[in-house]
Amino acid sequence: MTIQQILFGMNKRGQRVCAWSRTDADTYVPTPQPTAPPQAQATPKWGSPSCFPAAAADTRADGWTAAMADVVVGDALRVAVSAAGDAGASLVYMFAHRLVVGTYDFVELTTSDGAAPMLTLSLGHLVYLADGRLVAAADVVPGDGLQRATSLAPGEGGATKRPRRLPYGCAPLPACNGAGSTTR
Amino acid sequence: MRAASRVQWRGLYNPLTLHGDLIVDGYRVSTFTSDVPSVVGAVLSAPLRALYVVTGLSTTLLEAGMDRLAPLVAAVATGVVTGAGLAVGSALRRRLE
Repeated sequence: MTIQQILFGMNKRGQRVCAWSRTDADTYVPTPQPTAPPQAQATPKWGSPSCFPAAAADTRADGWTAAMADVVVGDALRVAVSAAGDAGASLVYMFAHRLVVGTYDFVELTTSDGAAPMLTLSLGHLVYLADGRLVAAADVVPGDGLQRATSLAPGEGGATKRPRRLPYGCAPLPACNGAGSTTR
Repeated sequence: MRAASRVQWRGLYNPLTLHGDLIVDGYRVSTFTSDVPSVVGAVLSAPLRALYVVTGLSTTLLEAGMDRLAPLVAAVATGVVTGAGLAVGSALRRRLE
């Protein structure tokens, strides 16, 4: 395992806490799951959270999807919507939020696309509309088109599955923060 | 989009890509938020992106959220102000002597 951690951190909830780290994604050790029960509501008080739930599905560079909780620094994720043959992948260089514990408020945008029936994200997170505008999720209204990643071809032809969504998180927890919930 | 509804889910994750976009739940989204204009966010995050590209170093300081960072920022600010005050006081004392 190649992890270098420098400086110090804060540890109120058993979060992984260091100011700087260098992580080998291939040998990454998931954050230990706290044993405390989930909180009913844990919205941060300073700075509005604009994020995704643990079960939201990221699309990796190879086209497979993975639960947000499984993504680590160094992973290559898809960033482009279309252009066959041009996947458009980019590396994850850090997390602006990575909170395992607690439930948080999100908005669920239900679409008419049966293959991708909904997008779940925080109210303030920016989403691309079909006309190219970038708006907060809270400002998307019925009738707006979202930019769908239609030309993804997971594993050069396999089917993409959505991760399981459980009402109160992932159970058992190790399957949520490990390879178990990757819908490969 | 047909409808929007408020829900509660477990976990709060915001992975930042060097590009600035993501594909989540099959749709294209930004890694930025409405709190800060995307251009400003890109400028502010440029040093961290450059650091990662050049050295592979990544910070986990923000993973617990900005509210967790507030005490650290306050402590650093207090230290800076205190240090500046001591330095100014020392300089004034030297001048008076």
